[in-house]
Amino acid sequence: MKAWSLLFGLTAVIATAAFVYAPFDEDWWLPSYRATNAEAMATLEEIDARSGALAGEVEAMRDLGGPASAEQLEGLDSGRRWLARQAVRLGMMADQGFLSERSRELQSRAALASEAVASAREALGIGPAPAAVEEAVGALEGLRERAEAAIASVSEPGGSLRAPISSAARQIDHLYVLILVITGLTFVGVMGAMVVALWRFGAKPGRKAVYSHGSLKVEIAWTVIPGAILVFLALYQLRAWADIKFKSSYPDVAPLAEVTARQFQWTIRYPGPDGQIGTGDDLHTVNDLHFVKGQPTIIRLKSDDVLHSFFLPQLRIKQDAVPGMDIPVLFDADKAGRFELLCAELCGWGHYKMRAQVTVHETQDEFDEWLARSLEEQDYPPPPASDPDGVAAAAVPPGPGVE
Amino acid sequence: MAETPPFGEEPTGEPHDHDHAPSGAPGRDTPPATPGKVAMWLFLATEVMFFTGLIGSYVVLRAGSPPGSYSNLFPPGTDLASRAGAVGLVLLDPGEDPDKVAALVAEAGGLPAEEADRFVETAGEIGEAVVLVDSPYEPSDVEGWRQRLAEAGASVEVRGLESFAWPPPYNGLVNPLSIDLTALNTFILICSSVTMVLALAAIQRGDTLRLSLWLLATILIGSTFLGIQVYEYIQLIGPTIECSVAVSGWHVAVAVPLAALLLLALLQARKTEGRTAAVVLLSLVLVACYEVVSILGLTADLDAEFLEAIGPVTTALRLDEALYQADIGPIELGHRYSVGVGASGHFRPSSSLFASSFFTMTGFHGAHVTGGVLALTLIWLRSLFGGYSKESHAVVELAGLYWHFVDLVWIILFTVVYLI
Amino acid sequence: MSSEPHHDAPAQGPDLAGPDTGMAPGTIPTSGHAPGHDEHIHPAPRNPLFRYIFSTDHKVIGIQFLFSGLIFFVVGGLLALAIRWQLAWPWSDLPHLSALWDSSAGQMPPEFYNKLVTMHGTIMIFFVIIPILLGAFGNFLIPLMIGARDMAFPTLNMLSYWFMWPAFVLIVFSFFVPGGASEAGWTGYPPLSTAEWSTPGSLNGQTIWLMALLFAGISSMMGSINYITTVLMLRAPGMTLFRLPMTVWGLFITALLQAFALPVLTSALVMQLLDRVAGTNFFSPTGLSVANGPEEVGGGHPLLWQHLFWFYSHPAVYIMILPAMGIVSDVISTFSRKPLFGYKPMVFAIGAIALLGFIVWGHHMFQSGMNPALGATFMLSTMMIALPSAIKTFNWLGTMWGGSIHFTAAMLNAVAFVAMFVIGGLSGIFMAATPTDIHIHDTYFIVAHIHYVLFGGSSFGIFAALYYWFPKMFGRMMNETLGKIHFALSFVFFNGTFFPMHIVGMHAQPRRYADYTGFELFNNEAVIGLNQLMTVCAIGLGLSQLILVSNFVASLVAGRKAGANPWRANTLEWQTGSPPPHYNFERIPTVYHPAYEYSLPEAESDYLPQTEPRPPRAEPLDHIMA
Repeated sequence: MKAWSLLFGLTAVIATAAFVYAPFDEDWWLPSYRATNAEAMATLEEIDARSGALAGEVEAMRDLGGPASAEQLEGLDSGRRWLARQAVRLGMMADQGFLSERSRELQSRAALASEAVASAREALGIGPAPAAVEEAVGALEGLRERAEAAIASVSEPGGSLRAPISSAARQIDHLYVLILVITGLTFVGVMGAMVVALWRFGAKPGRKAVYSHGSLKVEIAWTVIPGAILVFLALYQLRAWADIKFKSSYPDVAPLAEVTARQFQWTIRYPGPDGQIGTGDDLHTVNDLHFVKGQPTIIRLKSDDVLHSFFLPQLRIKQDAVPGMDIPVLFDADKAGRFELLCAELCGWGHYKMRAQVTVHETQDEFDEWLARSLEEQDYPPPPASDPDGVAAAAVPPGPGVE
Repeated sequence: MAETPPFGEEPTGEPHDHDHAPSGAPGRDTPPATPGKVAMWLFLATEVMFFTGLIGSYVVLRAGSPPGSYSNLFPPGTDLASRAGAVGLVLLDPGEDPDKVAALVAEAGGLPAEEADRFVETAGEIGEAVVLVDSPYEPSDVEGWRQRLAEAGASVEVRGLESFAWPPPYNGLVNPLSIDLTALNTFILICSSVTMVLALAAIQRGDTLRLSLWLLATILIGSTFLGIQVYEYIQLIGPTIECSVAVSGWHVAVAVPLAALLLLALLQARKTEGRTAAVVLLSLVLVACYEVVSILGLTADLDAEFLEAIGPVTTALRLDEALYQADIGPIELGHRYSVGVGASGHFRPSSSLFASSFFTMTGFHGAHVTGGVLALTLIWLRSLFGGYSKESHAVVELAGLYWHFVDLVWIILFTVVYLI
Repeated sequence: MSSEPHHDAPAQGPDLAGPDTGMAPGTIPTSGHAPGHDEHIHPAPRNPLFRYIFSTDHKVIGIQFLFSGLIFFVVGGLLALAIRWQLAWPWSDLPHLSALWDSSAGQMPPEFYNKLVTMHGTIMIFFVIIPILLGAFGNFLIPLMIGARDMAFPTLNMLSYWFMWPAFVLIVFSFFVPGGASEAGWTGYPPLSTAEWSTPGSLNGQTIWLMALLFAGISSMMGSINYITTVLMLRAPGMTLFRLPMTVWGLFITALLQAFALPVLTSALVMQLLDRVAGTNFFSPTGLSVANGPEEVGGGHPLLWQHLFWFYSHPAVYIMILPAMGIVSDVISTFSRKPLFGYKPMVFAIGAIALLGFIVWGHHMFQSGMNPALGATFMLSTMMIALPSAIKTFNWLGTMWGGSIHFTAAMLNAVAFVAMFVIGGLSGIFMAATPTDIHIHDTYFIVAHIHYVLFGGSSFGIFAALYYWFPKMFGRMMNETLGKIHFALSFVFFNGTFFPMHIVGMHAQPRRYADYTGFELFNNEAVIGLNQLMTVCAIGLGLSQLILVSNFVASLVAGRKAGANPWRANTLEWQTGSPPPHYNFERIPTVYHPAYEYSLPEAESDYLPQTEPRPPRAEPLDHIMA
């Protein structure tokens, strides 16, 4: 019956290995979305590059004296065919769930662009066709822009144990590793003893068990030593907890925004030019949090209805949002890029889809520029005095939207 | 050396007396603890934890109640920040001609006539009530109405806004609880504890007659306490009774056997109150469950299907026939308070956190008193048939313990909720 | 193999009619004398209604709790399989279940997922583990192990079982009311649970949930008063508190926990019920408006519920583990043929866990918005509660070390308890540490911890108890081979199902998400693949329980007849028939020593029942350890 000790032993070994290995393997642990969807990403990059080049080609045919050359027409034909193929690939990508919405949008744009190029090709076969060229260029540029945006929208991988990317993550991951070592050694020791006991002390005819009720010395030893370790751990972690959660240790920075959780979205309110949250010039966004890399950032967390929880896993930040309470939350990020915000407290049927996009800007200037652009879009600045009817203003296309 | 057993002697195999307590020294007459007593103390410990949950929550909620949660001029929970300069017209006494005053109040406050009558009556009893408020959000001519009411003989005055974190005692504009009446009620309950002690002392002497007498006194006094509580609740909640009652053959078909069962159970009280209580309890619980679930309307479909299925049978037995049908009401009961007590003019569990806590705590206490009265009634019934003696009356002592506990909880509640 | 003790009563079925004393059947037996010697002993009632249904015999009541508990185990397990299905293949068709939902495609609506999650937790905790450990094994074993004829209050005992039935009916009924079953998690946090329009389950299902738990709570409180009184007052002569077997200690301390913690849950449930039906405002902050509903008067605080709820529910988790710990101590000692290592320290450890269990509840609320300084104090007490559990683990190892181990099904399950409890306990350290809790709170890491202690711990403990005491309860042996197969499969599939949860939890996969693939963090092969692996193992785990069920049923009907003491154990229940007669013992036994005198050098056999004095030449017992 020694086989039973093997069952326990094997389980312990596999468990230990998996638990110790998993958080540290960067690639397997937090595989980059780009890496696991390499083909799809490559498609997007190709679309980005080639539609730009194609737009340039078509643009060059705008001011032709007569019909386009055979070479140019050939180029348009192959361009059209390429666009049609991309449309199909994008459709497949959407079906497979990769950036479905964006892929669908790109698919229809690719189809439109394909048609526009086709009609431009027809028109140019006959004579100059600046209007058709204009349309085709517009469609291709639009396609390229959206492809670029799609590429940029894919979340940055980040936050594995090998590379913590925020102050909180550094402290928490360090503590995690410490606890992992302590509990890991304990586990190996205890399971080892158990496996050995099961192996050695199976019932054998003629051997009686040892008659012993215990040993005070041993009891004291295995009370005092674990007790000391636990006390040490308890005291050791107080610093990290205070740094992350105690309001008194927060730096004196103005809050970045007021984040209100509600069923089932995050509404975020940034102060406008007057620097005050709660006045009429504030910027309101939905599911779109921006802040600056390397700066300690505070938000004021509220809830409109039920309990929610503000969870930034890559930055190791979590705080429940309680209706009736206004809770300051401190965080920062070492890396610019895009991250995800999750809701971590059951809040109803849509709890699983309360996702917000978090964008960390490289510099304060980049953030300010985004803020100004968004405010403008939100508020539609009034036309200047020289153009009271807003005719000229209407001709200017709105700036690139918030992705 | 052999292991010595715990009771100081080597067991010899002679049977020990186990009747009601584990063996101490043999030959002991009255062991200090019986399983019944241990169980009752444990039960009381669970009750203490239950009331601790309620009272502890009350303390925490009250301590954390922000200033400005309650005010003399606005319903609880109103945002007072934007109403800083408000003033209100307070009616202190209706004077000689309450009907005229009531008519004016109805006009000023936009109340229906009957409610205005109750409002003026309540104001007269309590001594103050807000008729009208002038604030940035609800502008009105307070001064004008003050003059008109003064001319009608009422005693009125204009007051500024006062806000509180919690309704203070004796402030009629915010706190409708009558401390005087409840103080009397507390005294009454304490009296019932005294009679309970006397009942126990009687049976400990072997006096079964006095036992029954003092038990009856306890029951009656306890019921008086409950009656005053119910009266107070009606005044506070101000219910409007409006219902249509229909008694069909079904009700009779269910009620008659249930009544018979209860009667049988009560008669059994002669022999043992434990089993009776069990049967009574189980039946009441089952009926209560069904009633609650039907009130929630959750059995409507089930009922309908079931009734449809047995339609022919019930028609044949004439169970569906309505034996009695009547529309009752609307009858309006209770006081109508000032707006600072509750937005509706009544004091209901939904009116404010103060109201929620009040009704929950006193309500559960009242339920425990009711349970105690029921238990004492069963014990009293048994005592009438000679069920207790000097040697065997453990249940009376246990009931006494419970009754004193209920009294103690009330004293704590009265202090914490009413007085402080 | 040594001989059976010579005054072992022959196996007797439950139909034994004792001497007719002329008293009415069913009268409460209260005293402890041999039949014929005392007028209080009665035969079992003959009317089947009072013999098997409204029985006051603790053994029958225990078996009633066991059967209802096992049925709900199946229900809770099926709910879990539905959860795992959705997680592995989100929004896939469940073809035969499309009738359950209005959607013709057979896809589970997201609110139904929340119902599954809520009801799985509620049922497993309140209708399976607590009733089986306390209601079934507590009822059956306590009087037998202390040498009494029945509980102190047999009628109260009967009531405590039948008060569970309204709870059973209500909890099943809640699925069929408008809005369906409760969806607010087994933790029922307001305002989600109190605001009617926040989610469909909060329309009506939540009210029914509250009522069901109130009934279950009343049943438990009745039971705990009974157990505590019985253990304190009805022990046989010679049975001092420090000679009680660990099973009884576990149950006794647990009953104390129930008695003191449960009423606070009752007050919380009552307050939530009133918030829902009477418009009170205990948990609603001022101005709360959910789903564009009218603003509440408010004044209350959602965190108040959390404090009150966890004040009970943390001791509740100890209520779910301590009886199993006690049972496992007895099983390991019996099958190692060796005294329990450090019996008295083990008793004090259980006491310490219970006491400390009252001051750690805030560790469920570290991220809740509670003052972080208060959180730090809870962290300290939580770290310390790991200590007595660790001591117990070492003592179990110490018991096995140097023993003569018999690998019966019961022993295997008991050893698995120790191993899985170690994993569950160690993972608890990560969440006791408040900073790491920031990351893993409300993720699958917590779910892993929960299931390692509740399934790996309590459930394997229940399996061990079942295999160990089945002969005593039913007079027949369970099939050992099937038992071992059941164990091996359950062990492997259990770890396959729940160990990967640590990993996806560290990866931040949140709890209670109907579909995690909407997030780029989780929409990859690793997370999806592990979830699918877990589901496959969960299905395997579920199927493996069929072996247990068939073994159970077949052995009930056709198992080999058991003797009084098939395991050659020391405790009192093995010194009477299998199953015991209606009045438990022919003569109330006298107890001479604690329960763990195995393999005494001076004794001929390797066990010494508590009813036999130690050999005169034996060394005196170590009063500190034993």
